[in-house]
Amino acid sequence: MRRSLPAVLAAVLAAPPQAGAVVLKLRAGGEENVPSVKVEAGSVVLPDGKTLPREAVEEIRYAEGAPAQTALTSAPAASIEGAALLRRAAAFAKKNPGVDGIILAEGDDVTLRKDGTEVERQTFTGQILKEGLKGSWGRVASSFEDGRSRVRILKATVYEPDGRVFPLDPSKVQVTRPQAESLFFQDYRETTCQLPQLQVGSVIDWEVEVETYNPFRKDFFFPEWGFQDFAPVQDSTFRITVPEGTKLYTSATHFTGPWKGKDKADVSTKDGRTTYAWKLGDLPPIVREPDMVPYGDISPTVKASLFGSWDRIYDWLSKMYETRSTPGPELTRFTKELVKDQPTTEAKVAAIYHYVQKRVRYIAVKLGVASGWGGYDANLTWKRRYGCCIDKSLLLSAMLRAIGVKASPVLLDTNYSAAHDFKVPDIGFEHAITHITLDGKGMFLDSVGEDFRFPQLPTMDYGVKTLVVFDRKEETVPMPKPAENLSDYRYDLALSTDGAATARFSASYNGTHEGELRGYYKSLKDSELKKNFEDQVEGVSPSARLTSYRAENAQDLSKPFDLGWSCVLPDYLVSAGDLYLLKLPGLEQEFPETSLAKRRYGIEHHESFEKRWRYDVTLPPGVGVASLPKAETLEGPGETFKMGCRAGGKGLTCEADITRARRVVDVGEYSAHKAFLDKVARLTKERVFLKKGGA
Amino acid sequence: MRTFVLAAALAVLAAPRASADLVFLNGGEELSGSVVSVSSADVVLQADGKETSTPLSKVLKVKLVRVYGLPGETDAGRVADPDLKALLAAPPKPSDFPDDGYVTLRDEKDCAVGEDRRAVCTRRVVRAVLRERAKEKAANVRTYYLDGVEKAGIDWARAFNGNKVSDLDDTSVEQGSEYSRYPDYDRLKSVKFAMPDVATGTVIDYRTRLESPVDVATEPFMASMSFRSFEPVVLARFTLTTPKDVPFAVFAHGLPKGAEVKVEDLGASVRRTWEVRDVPSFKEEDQMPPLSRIAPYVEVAPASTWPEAARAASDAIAPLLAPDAAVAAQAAAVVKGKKTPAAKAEALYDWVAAKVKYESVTMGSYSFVPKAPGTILAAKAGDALDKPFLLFALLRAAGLKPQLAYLKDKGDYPFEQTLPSLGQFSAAAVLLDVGGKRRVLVPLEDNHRWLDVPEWLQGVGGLVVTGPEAGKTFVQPLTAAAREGESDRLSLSLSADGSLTGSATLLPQGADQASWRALKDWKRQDVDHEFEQLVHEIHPQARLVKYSVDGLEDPTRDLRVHVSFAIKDYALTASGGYMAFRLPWVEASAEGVGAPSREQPLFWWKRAREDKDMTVRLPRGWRLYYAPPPAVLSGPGSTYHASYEPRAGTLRYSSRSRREDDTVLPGDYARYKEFREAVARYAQRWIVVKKG
Repeated sequence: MRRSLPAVLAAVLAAPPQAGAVVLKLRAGGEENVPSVKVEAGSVVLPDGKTLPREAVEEIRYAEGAPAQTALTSAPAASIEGAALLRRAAAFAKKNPGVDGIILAEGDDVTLRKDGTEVERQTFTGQILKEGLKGSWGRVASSFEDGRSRVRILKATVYEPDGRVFPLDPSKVQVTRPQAESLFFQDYRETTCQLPQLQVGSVIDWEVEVETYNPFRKDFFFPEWGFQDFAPVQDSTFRITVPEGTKLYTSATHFTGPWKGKDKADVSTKDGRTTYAWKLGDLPPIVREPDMVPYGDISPTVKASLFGSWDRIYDWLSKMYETRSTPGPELTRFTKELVKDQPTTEAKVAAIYHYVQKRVRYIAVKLGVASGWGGYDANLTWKRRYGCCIDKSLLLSAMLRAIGVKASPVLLDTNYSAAHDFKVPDIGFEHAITHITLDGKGMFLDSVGEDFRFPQLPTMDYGVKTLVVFDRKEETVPMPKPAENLSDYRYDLALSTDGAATARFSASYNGTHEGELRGYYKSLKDSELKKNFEDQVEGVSPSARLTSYRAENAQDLSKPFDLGWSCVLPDYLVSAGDLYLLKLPGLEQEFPETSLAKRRYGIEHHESFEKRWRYDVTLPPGVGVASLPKAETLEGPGETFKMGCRAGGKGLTCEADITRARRVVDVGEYSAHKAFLDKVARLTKERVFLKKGGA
Repeated sequence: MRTFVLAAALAVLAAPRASADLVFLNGGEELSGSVVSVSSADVVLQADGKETSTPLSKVLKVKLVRVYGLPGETDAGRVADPDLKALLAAPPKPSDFPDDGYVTLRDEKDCAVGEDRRAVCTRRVVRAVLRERAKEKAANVRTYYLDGVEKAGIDWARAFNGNKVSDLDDTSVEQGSEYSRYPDYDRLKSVKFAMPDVATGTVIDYRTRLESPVDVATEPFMASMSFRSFEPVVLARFTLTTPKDVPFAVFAHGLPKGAEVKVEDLGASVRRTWEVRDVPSFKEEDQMPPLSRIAPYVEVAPASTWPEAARAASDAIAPLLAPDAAVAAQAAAVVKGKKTPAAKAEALYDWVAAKVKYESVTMGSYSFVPKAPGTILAAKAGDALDKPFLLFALLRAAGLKPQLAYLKDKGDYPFEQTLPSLGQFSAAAVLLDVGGKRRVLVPLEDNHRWLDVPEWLQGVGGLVVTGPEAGKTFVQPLTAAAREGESDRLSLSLSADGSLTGSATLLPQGADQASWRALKDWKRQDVDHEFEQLVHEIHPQARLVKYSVDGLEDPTRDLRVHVSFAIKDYALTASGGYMAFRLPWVEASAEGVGAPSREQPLFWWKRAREDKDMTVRLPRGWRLYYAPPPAVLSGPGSTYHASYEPRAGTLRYSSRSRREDDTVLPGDYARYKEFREAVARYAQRWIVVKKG
């Protein structure tokens, strides 16, 4: 059979509709614009009398007044402008040797109109100095929600070092719907274009306008801007314009060092509009460091709001959450049945917590404002048996309310992100958990984690300030004491004269680490579990042979998870002449966070912890201790370590213990922290020296 | 205005059940219920038996939610499919599959090519969730399709819990682009969905559909099915129905004993069926090959020959090769001053690799026909086909005689000679004979040297599509171990206080060199940090003294990495006047070979080599008390030689490690495990020096 290929098949994208009253989104793909539409029985009726089966239409969108989603081009940029930019870039690059790119100007200009609609203009002018940056800087993109906002790429020009200029080709602008991560279902689109002819030395100059022509609340106006970047920035500007007389509440954070005192806006009023402007210059690049604090905790940042109190946020959220966390009769009946055999309120709460964790899988369906921020009704989430963090929090709250326990959804940013700035209100939280009051005592629960035994919660929640919605208050999730997140390791080693050993290991846990391990071990098949332990003992010593193993209660949240194994280690002792070197298994620690001699930024961990090791070693006849590691006790900023060995009877015992009480190490504490951890790492490399024929 | 052509297509799908539609209001609220009517004045919604009207002025949008159930099947008792009904009556118990998370009870792929030579493939899956850990994998589904060539849809999807049926609806269905980050190559789409109401014991039943609106002969149409995965399968069946005048080639690989293969004459068409029952799950093993290389599978494609497949490509490419002034000018500028064909080729390779941005999209996810060279040049961006094609065009413009070839991705099903189809290939390469040697050039990323082939394209099949050898297939071999890996030379000095100072020169090759060369795109401060971290990994007390990388910006040179360090308190001290230490970077681990046996081969993408030569000056007044004896070790495909040699006041160490294969078969695993353990034991040995 003769086979042929068609000419290049370009990506087929639905042509954006023209502005009109109603947009029909069709299941077969594409959209149609019609003046009006009726839905009757099983049909969608168009003004000309044509009908479509209801199943052919996915969505009817009322787009009256919606501007077209089109791209505009500015007039072709003059090469003279490019020459000026290139000269400016050359001078700024000279001041910043070794960087991969420089940003000449970066800005955000947000305007609130009198009618409550918003328009935001983002601008960027930068020069690529290394090939690798072409990937991340080579595309202009911004997302929008149909019916509420639109995106226009106003300018996207590439100035080449040789003087050529490539302005935006409107035919290259695409509107696409990016597929979200597998657990996320969202309803947004993206306007995007690829910048042509990029090379080292190219200056990129773009401007994008995002217009929110149909805001869901006209008083919810929360502009925010971070001034620093991973490339040096010559000028970073943030402008907020509001109708004259409109009060604007602002908060500026991290204006320290060279930017101290520059946190106050320049305020000007013209033509009935008041503009607040901040401008910083010569910002150095953020340089990545191991375990560094997040970007938002480093960069000077400004955020703003039209109101200064959280009351309006509490009112809005409470109204949604109240309804959605009210258990219906069916859910109430189910909940009471679920906990009927639990003897105490605490046990009932634990049973409900574990139920929501395990029986409702994490799926985030965010189709609009209400489901995005408000979540779905708890009764629906219970039936679907899936939901995101706020859905699960609402369901947990509803079920607890069904048994008379006070509970409230809580909003927060996890400790993987920057600390949320509470000085002015906003709704930009990334996670939701639950606050409950049990026997008069408040506590936080996070039902997104599937493996945390009541009352544990994932480490990402620790130490962050939250919004407890029903209580209308801000409260910080407490950090557990180190001993409340304890890993306790015990080894029994019996050595033979031929250098072999038998080893028995057991580990028990409390706190979040237990949950993390449970999650891992739960994911393994039984056959894979054995292989996992075979690999663990092989890591203790090559040619180790596993003789038994256990991982208890990985599937059962009501019981503590622990594990253990025993093995034969045919060549455990490392022989060096008449010496044996004995390694204490599992003790050696490494801390990449202290790899740099100096740091610019602090270190952020996610949890406190304690780890304990105990080794009971039985020596064979004819072998004695030649040398033991010295006993040591160390302290660092919020951390301790001790280690010691003692010989006695037929063997020796070694113990070690490390604790960390704090999540964050400030940069000023780094040298003490580094000295502590490097010393700990060195001490855990110690060996016990044994000697054939006795010491 | 476009016409509406959907009704007929939808008629074949399941009739929808009454749905919980969604009305989104301008103020952000969402109303749920069944849309009774929409008029120019309002939207009437029915919920809980009541009708409520919302003025249209408040409405942002109405989502007419489709429910993916089957008509009349509102509970398990009303299921029409007798096989499913029987399964639901007696679902499998976890104890039937003690090792597994879910079981696929039926996996049926049915591809039919119609008289119009267009293909429709459906996939019916019925699976039961046995353990909590698997509910997510069992309940979340994604189907990919190539826009313009395929359309994807869901015929039905539902979850059974006892007698209760929970149908999927639109709220957890999403259609989107997989490569929106590459606007010029944004063509691969997907439909994903999350089943509702899934827990241990749930039975999931869905059918997805891929329809192709183009003739199977005009695209490299291929269909395939794997018969084994990480969860067990009770019944897997692949059916292909084709008109008799559209011959198909088929290839079945590794089907288990007992697999049923049928060919039925249906008059005007032929139906082929491959059926496999009771397939156990794979278990995760370290260093496993990609699933596509170990699973039994069947692949089908319209019958053809390799010359025909190559001609299809070259016919499409030929018009793109018309002389282009910009391409010619670019070629001339790049090769200016280059005297030999090899020098010209290297310069053009380096130019395309560095100056044309790589958009990491394979041919199957965009197109098997490249864009015109002038278009690629103008965009200065290209995918796995377009970048090599631009090099091909530039080489021609420079007066050389390249050939264009298509290559298989090593992560896909292995190359199959008996299945001529362009659909087997993922990327292009340029073949060029210079200096009496055949060179294979793949200018995708600019951190590889010009003769290096990326590891995912080593050891794979290929097809020459243009040039004198067009239509010939070939195997792109693994790169020799000598051109992979790293040679390290260290000069060290141990002090009496146990501190160690040293300098190292690292000579990486192949993929290792490419990893190092990626530093060229980093900020200088990031590179500084990288070297500090490298040294800190040797020892917590290690301090970077200095570093440099020769040739980082020059793709025509191999890299040389120099690093110097000082480590306080490096050696362990023991009473009796002993110091013990191990050399930096000699550690070897046996992790990954802990299991006494394995089912699947060990797999690597490439060969490996590691050479180390070190000299340690010992402190004055100390003597060598112990150094390990030489080791000469070998295992399947691998060797390791190491030795310590004391010389006046110094100790010399040398090791040579090679892995010449990319696979160790399960039958050879025990010997390989022994080898790795022996290497690890050797590397764990210490050097002891004694005072006096």
